[in-house]
Amino acid sequence: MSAVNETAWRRLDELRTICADLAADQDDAVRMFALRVDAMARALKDSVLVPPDLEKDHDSE
Amino acid sequence: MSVDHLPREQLRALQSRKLGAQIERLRSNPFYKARLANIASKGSPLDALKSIEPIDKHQLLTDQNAEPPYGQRLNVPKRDVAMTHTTAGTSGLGQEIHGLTWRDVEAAGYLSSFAFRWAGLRYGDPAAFNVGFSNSSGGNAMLRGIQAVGNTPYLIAQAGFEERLSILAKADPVGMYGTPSAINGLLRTARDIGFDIRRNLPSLKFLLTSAEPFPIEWALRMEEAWGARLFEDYGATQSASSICASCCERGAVVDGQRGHMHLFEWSFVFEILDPETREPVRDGEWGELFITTLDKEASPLLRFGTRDRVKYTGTRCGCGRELMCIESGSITRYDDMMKIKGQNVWPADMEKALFGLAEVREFSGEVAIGPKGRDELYLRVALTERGEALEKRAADDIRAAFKAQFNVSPVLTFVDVTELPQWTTPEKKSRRFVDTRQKGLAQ
Repeated sequence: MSAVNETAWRRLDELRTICADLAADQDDAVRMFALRVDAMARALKDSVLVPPDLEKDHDSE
Repeated sequence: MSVDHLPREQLRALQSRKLGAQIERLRSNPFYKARLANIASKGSPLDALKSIEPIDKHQLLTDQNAEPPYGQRLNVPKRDVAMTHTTAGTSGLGQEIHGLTWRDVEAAGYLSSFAFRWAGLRYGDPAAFNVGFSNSSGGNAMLRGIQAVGNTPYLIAQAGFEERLSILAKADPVGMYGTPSAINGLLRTARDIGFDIRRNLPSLKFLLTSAEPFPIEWALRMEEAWGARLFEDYGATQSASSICASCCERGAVVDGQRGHMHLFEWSFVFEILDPETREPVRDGEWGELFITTLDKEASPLLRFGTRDRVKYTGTRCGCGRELMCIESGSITRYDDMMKIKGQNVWPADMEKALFGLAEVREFSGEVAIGPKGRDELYLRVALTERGEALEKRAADDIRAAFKAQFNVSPVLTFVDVTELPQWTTPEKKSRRFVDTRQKGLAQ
């Protein structure tokens, strides 16, 4: 896991925290924006990035 | 380390982690509940997977007919379904409907982007998109695949072939995505109208294709004619509505031999099983591809039997990735098999044999009851040029190839290309062979 990948993972988690705040907005458009940005962040993590703890887990086995 | 370059041990660890979570998410799902009842929460999820009864298209259709539109297998509230994809229905059994959450939609693009990245698409690059749009998964996932890494996908499938060439000349894309039939059809039109592909498309460096098998000779001809490398991806609507395998940077043909497509094991578990014994096939053997989705939220699948016949080629490739591989250009359907004069024959293999001959431009085939009441294979073939000498040589080539490969002697007729069905509409899967024996027997 490169440092770049790990940084991207952490920053995406921060983005998801912001989306969670926006998801409580009264405006449907804002809520949908939050839903979609959160979905993009999760999809990127699932499909492109390596979980930072994978190597650590694996190394400790 | 990028996810596609994970060593096998870490890849298995990631799969195990994701599969364990997927099984727990599905324990209360009405469609999967009974299937998972005997699966313990402890232990290896990858070992446990082998004891789960596989599912097939019939079961999915029964499920969605009983509880339309998505069936009981939908694992999110209906309001969280952001998009739906349907299968093509070419099996004749009915169209499956698969739901996607917004995560699933975006993931389809990110996964599909690997095919474009490996083919050579880079940040900001334009690519031409030669596939029509509908509820099928291919259009959506692949368009998002371009957008996930490149830029400016030029949509050309809505135009006639001459207009497509005109758009391509103006756009000068780095790559083009389309079915073999569409790529072939564009080349044919280019030659008919005197469109110089290499001069008009100087930046083109890759063709990415999918959905239809192709012979090596055809691939080499396309690479020469287009001045671009050929790549292939593979996907199924069931595989998270995205592609789940693609050729790496080495391409669809490597040193004159078929290349590999790498299966995206970080987001799926794949099994390639003998269709009779359900045992895993070995390197170099053919089997049915079974897919388990690891990340998909809305319509997840455990051990779905695709009925796709693939050749397993191991986990080693010159690119250094350690993903499971299947042979490029040779995927067919178990459902398509025809028995002609006692021989098991796949239409795709016959297509490969015919398109492998440089003089063959287009053809159609019919398996029918002949005048003597026995199976006959009738071939109507259009050649690149008309002429007695060429027809005689082509007839000899075709008869020799069919005798050697299929032990079948076809009844040949040479026709003009305009007399044959045109398989150049990219959203339609080509069906060059029909079997009318049932009809013949009924008469």
